[in-house]
Amino acid sequence: MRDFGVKLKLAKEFVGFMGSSPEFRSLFEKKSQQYHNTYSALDIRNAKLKLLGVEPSALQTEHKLPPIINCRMAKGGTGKTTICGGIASALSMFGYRVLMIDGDPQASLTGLFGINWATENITHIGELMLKFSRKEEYRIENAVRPLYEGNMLDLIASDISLVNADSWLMGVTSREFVFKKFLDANVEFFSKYDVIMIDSAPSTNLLTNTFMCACQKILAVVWLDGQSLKAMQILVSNVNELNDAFHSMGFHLDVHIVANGYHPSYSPCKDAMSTLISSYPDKINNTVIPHAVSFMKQVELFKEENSGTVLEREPNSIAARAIIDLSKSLVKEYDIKLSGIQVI
Amino acid sequence: MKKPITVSGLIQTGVIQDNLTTSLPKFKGQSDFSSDITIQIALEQIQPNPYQPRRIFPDIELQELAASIAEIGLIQPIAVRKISETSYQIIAGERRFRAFKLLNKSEIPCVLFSCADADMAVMAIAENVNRQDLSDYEISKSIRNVENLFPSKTSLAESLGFQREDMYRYFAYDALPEFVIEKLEANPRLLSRNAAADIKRIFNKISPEHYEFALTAFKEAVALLELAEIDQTKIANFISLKVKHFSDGEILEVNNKKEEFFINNKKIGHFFSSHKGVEVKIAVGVLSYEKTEELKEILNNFLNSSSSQS
Repeated sequence: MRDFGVKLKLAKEFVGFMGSSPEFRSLFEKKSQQYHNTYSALDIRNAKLKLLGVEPSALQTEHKLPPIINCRMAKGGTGKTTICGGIASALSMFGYRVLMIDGDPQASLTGLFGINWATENITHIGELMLKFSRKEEYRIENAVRPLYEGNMLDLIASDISLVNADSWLMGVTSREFVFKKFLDANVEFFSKYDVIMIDSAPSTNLLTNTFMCACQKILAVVWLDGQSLKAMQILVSNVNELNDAFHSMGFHLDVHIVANGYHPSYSPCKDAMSTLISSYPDKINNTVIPHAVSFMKQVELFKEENSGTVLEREPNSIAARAIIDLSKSLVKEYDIKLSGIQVI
Repeated sequence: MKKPITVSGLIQTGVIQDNLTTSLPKFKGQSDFSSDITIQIALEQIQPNPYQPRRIFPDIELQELAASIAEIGLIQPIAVRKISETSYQIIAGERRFRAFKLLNKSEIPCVLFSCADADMAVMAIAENVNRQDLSDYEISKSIRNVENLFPSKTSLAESLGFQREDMYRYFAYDALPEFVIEKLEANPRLLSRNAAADIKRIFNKISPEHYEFALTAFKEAVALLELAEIDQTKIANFISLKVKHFSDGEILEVNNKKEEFFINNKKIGHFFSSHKGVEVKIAVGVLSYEKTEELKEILNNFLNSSSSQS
């Protein structure tokens, strides 16, 4: 469990509270009147519900799958994991219950939160899906690691053995929809969350396809250089191919693009940005993630003080600002609701 | 604090352009996958493919397919062609069609193709031949079915992607006696094309007076085959042996043990008889050149006298 809270100014923004600070503090019963309080994701959720006039215990969740955001790119190093983890922690600070699934055998998302995949006993999503498709017993609860209190941010971690998924998926009927069926079969569990975030491997394979086929819209993270634009071509043909193959089932996958790594003094960034916006004018998120030093600070893996997203480490940095803005826009883009209640 | 970077901000300040003619491929929208290719056709308007090589549609498999269709829908529409204003013929997808019937559906998604009889036959065979679950006998029947649609056997083989010799193995079933054909109709996996070709070769070789006996031997072999007491590849051999023994007028004593010859307790050769023949072997240096010639003459005389007796 991670102990993360934000200070008053950011907490007010996350709750969407326009009033004065004393009024804001009075929303929290147990908090003292001190100035130096921090507010956790759960505090913010409860404050939001209070302002909406909803008693948290009175909330009845519908058994319906939440929106799924799958961070995808056919190339490594474009910032999928950093942005996936960043958005996940920001969304939970906005009061949404977030489940992260590490779908990459490199387990970078697992590592981002300081979990050592080499020494920890990890049940990854591949193992759950395999047991599900073989009709064996499994418990998702045992695979889930709570990161923020009150199940505000949970993680299904991954390790290198997730690469095996491709070999057994090969022999499964309608393998593209194994993950979707797994979610549907466990809708009661997954409907606890307001959004599911999946971090995908950079390759294009059966596992990344089965994740994509459970989504309505993937989140393509593009680093602003020529190689990423080339990878974009592969992603386009991958998406078009899936849409072509399953068109008759009424399946259609859309794409939302985030530009990452913009630097004002690098002219190729601007050229790549121009190409991207001219090619996909209606698919790009307005927030551009800057090439910022805060993203690069996790230098020692598995060290508690080194781990965590940019929002946790430097909540007031320009990098964290971009992630917060991006997350706010994704709430609208993906129609993320607070236990079924729309909050803007 | 620095202002966050936004796409709209970059365009407004002229840092980036949004009107380049670019080369990146487009994502296809939902309407770009033209739905007019796939049409819904009522099941009663659809007829099965007359060139369908598959003769057995096991109930269990159909039920499994129906269950999977009921769960996730039909992934691939079936292929049909129009044969009149109100009727269509299946090119590929009879199993899916039957599964839809099982599910009591009224319509099935179809893709329309225009194709001639010959193309249709080839499509149906090609669709099925490369799958392991179609037996050689079923393939042979469907080839026979479409044979006259092609100018020559060579072009038939080419269209189907078969080697010419291999295609003739499929034709071997035609030379088989009536009773086997009846059995094959019920169980097409009884004989492979290779076994059929071997049996055909044996029947071509034997003289007409032995035909009845060969047929009896064949029936006996098929009975054993059905009991799984003989391998189908051994049947041709089984018949030829029986016929040979019959024509020899007696059943040759099969002696699978070698009788060895000794001189001074030293092994110098052996006598061996099997269904392949009689073998006498004598080691090098035991017989001189003269003795060898003498042995040859004795054997010649012996064989000539025994043949003149019979």
